[in-house]
Amino acid sequence: MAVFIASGGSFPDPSSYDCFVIGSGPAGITTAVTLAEANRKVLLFESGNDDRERRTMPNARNTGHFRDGWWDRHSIRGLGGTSQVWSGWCASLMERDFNNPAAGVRWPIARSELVPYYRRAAPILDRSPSILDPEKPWIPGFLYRPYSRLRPTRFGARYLDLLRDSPTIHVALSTSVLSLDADMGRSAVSGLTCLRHEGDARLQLAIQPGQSVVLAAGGIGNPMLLLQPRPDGGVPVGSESGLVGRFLMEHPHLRRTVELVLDEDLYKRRASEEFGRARHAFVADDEHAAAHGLLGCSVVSYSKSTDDPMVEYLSWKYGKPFFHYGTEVRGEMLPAPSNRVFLTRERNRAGLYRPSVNCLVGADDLLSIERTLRHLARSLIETGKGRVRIDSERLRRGVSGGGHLMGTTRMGATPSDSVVDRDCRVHGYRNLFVAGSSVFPSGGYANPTLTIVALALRLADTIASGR
Amino acid sequence: MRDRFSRRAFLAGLGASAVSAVAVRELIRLGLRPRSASEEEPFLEEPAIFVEHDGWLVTMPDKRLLEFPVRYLEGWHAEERTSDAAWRWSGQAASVLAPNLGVEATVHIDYDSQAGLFRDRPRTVTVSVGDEVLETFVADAPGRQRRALPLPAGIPGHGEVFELTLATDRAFVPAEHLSDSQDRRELGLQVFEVEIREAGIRR
Repeated sequence: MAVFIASGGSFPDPSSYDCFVIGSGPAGITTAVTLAEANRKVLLFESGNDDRERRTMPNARNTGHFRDGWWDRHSIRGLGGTSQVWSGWCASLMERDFNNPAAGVRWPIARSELVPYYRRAAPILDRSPSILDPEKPWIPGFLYRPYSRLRPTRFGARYLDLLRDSPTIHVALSTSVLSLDADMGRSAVSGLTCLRHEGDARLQLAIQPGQSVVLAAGGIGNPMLLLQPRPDGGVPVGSESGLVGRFLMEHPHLRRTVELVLDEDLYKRRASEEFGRARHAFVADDEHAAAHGLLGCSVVSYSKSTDDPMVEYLSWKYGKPFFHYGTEVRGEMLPAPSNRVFLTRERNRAGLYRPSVNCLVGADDLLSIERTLRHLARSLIETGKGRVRIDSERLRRGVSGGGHLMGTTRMGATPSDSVVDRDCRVHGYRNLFVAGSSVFPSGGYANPTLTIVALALRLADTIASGR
Repeated sequence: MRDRFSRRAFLAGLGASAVSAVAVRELIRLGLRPRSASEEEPFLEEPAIFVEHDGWLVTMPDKRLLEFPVRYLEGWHAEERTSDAAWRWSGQAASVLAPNLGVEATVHIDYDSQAGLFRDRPRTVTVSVGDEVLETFVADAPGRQRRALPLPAGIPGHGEVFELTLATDRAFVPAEHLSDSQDRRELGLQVFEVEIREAGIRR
């Protein structure tokens, strides 16, 4: 099935739609479905198919960290997009992530504006809104803030029937959007060109000012499209800020690097059934992080044992049982303009210039993790609740990532510091929007899926309200 | 053996102090974006309450206790044990080498003086560090006892370790007190454990 609604081969009349959504990952499908619920008619583009990924369009080349196909593995051309490789972990951003001086960037919205959308986002990811309320005070300066982990929602499979049956959503599978055109004044998108892979047909669709275009093609796909050169050599539509593709962020992951010994059997902490299997995690609280200029960092326990000399020692010292935990540390990367998606001279089969990704974890990113760990160690020592062990070698050299692509069309107050405004609308264009983690100005430590869906809901409300 | 945590090495690896040519080369080798030379390292200005032991961030008393548990020196007989207890008999005087924790601490002595054998004239025990007597007590309580003796934060004249001596005013030979004993050893105290603990850590 190439196009859900036009299996006969004819392409739908573009004038009949209120919105064109490019990309069918969690952001794209959430935006489309929410607009449909508001009686808006949506055409959803997907390069891949409903049952397989399109592999004839290689994605990014890589330099820096995260090489050897890392970004390709997390840029899926197929219905459901990157939800196909999502692990199912959920956590919301913290209050400070929206305005953390240590990150040197501020979101133009506060967390409180996003909380209602977080609550609406949870059921879309097949979980209860109660997953927003798990955090509890722990030791001075630190919170217990677990991740919810349930079976991951594969958007392609989960919402296939809904998309197929929807009278107001039409899905153009196997169709890649190649470029955007703007009106003379560059105030609105006036057209788009797409390629239908079956038949190799290029189509030009006219976009009226009252119609909206939403880029939801991911942290590489969105800048890749916005950066494609124009035939006339002019600045690509939406790239006027010069910031498209820059400020790429991942979440540095450190595995088998940090060990904890705690006076608590974490496995006895029970979250609600709705919360799912909790991944126990600890983070600096907002006040402590602000006082010490810490970036986001969570220490996640993943294995417990009592067979450790430090367990024996602390149990002797304090006269109570202690437990040893292996951990995974998830940190935050500072947004750096040199970390970016840019285009190479190489073109893919569709004629799109192939992107390259340069991403280097910074010394400051690792130092902030190390400082957070030392603060955690201090608090554990002062409360007699445990100790922290750090493997220096792995901390410096063992960094990996989470497959989280953020920041490449960042949100901000002005065109001088961002690509989209607080409504996720590309600065200067009244009908061009971006959905997905590419709009995150900073990434915190939390994996982005929940926030992606929440922002997509908010964006859909904005478009539906005609603001 | 993994390279355990060394803050100095870690910072040097990141070029966090002065950005020297060597540090920059190290950053390039590691593939890390360098830090700005103008940035301070705020944590370095904070008082360090911990030290490192095999990668663990611990207190100085932890480090000393982990690296240097109490060791029995001179004047002890061989260890004896049953299924639920182990002990050593001291001679009339015996010493242990203990870590100087650098904080107020307590010496705990877990012992049995066999007071029943000396009802008429209980023995006196003296605990001392060098020439300084910490405590003298009459060992007249029957059965197993645990005695806690406070130690000052710094034991004058001693470095990371100090020698603690336990002396009884007289030893005894079991064969001379017990009709069924062939034991001709000169015994002082039956010591189950000598521990050094930070003051305030509950047991």
